[in-house]
Amino acid sequence: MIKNKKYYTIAGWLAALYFILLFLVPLLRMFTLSFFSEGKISFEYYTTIFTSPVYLRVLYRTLYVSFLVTGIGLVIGYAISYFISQKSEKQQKKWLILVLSPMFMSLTIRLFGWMMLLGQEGLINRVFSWLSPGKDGIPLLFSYTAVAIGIVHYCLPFIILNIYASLKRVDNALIEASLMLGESKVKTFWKVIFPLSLPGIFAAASISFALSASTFLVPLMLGGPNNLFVSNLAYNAIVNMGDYPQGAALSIVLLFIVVIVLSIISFFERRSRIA
Amino acid sequence: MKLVKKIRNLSIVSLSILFLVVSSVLSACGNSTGSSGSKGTIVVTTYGGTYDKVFKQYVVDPFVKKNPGVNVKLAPYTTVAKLANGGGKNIDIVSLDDFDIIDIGNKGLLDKMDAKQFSNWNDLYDQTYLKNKEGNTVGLAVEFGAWGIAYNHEKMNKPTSWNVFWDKEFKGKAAMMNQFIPDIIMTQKLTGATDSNMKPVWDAFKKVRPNISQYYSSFSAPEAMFDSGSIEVASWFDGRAIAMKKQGKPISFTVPKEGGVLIRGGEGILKSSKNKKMARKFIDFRLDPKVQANFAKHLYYGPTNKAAKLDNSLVNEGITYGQEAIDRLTVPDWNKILPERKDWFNQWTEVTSK
Repeated sequence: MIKNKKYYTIAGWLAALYFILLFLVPLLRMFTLSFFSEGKISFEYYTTIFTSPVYLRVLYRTLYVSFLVTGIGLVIGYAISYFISQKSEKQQKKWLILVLSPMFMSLTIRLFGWMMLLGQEGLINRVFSWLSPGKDGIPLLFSYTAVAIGIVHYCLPFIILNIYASLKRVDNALIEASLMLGESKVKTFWKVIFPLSLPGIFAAASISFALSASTFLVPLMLGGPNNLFVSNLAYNAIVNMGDYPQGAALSIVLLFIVVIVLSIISFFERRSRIA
Repeated sequence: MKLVKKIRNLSIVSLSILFLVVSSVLSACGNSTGSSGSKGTIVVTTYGGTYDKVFKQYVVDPFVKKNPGVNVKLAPYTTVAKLANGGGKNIDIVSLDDFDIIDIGNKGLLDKMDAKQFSNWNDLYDQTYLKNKEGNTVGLAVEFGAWGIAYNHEKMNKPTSWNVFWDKEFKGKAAMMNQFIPDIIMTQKLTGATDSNMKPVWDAFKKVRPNISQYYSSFSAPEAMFDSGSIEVASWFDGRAIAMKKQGKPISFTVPKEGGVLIRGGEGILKSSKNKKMARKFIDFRLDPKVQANFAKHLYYGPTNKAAKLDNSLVNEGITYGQEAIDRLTVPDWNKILPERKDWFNQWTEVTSK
């Protein structure tokens, strides 16, 4: 036992070293980079972000869409997770593989699929024009709708996995007890199952929010000029303008906000556990 | 006991550091033996897709055949941002847009070129030499294209002016490129703005908002947008538009009355390259009239060597070919524009997003 423990400690230290060298060091470099302008310490890049109407608007938009999308994702994800958890063990596995299967494919290719579906001559618009001939199709692609659809699609597997895991942990005896003692099925759900699955919901919300706020590809491919996110501005700053510090500052601001939101979510999670 | 534990912990940490140092030294040794062993290999970055196929078939393979013992490796497209941060270590030749070549040339990353190094040097069009701000040639254009207007000819008439993008009829049906100087230059021409007074340009970009469905980020993006019917008109370059037309798609290309911008795909040799001689030989081969003609035939890019002859049928497709066609297009003064670029793009971002 003691010998084993030693190996675990070494493995632990190696993992920590890997994390520090390859994650924390580059992050710190980004952080310092954002505070230097021409060799001198400066808050120039942060001032730009918080005084320019464009950056503020995009920041607000990023957070707004991330919240919205997380909400939509949670509702859809919960429904699917609950549906799966009610199936037999064998069926559950099949459904889970189905849910995870999109993740075996590159996101770029999946988003291309959405472009074809949502385009002016895509499937959705064709159905629409078949139902109401003579009318113009609905412009879906390159809009908030398209971006929201794309992000929900991207986050959904992560949401489902988390909620499903917590639903599986709900003790069946508790549900039976509630039903036997005369509570209706609906009330049993809201008073027993739902509260017990809260940890999964909070975990899913955290992951979904972090993924949404940092997504780069979805607004780039499905969004129009008015749907870009902070990550796209950071990309433009670095790749098109070669302005590293501005890109770094944008990323740090985004990271900071995401961390705050995640701490709020975990605060609520702890409170829900106590209550 | 505590002390013992501390010492043990310390020894574990130092052991793992030792392990890391040893392994990095080992891998460094591996690298150096690797590069000396594979002498005669040159690494060229390229654009991917169909381009790579033609590049391999008409440049790389014949070159290797002509120079036994030489190996040519294709590397993925590498951006200026990456190259400027030491990302070009194993690369000999970079393929980039003219402005990117000039940009890294000004950053001192590229080897100077001159007439003695290239047998094709004196046959090239004047627009081929990509010069840094000191006037030294730091790269050579290997293909020309025209920045103009691609449009769906089943849905609209041939546009005669860049102002087609401001036409109310094309609400949500147009696309331009994301943060792209040629679009800004053409708007400058259209509005009569000057470098010192760019206000009319930014006003125009504000006005064009409702028409632009997307500012696309890669040269290939309009293809899918035209295909899905999301757009009817886009600022684009001739090569891809002609390729689409050849596939039977209803897409045509035109350079309107205000003119267009000369798009130049260039190649440069990194200063850090250890195979500069072979790299020069490769670029020289790339500029060979026959190789250039093949590129025009298969990718519809215009040759940069005057000696390259194209069939009339090919010229009629609208390839940027010959002194007259090339001179008609604007060559942006990149050395003057690059320092302004950040400011322009910031302004551009401000006016294009709502």
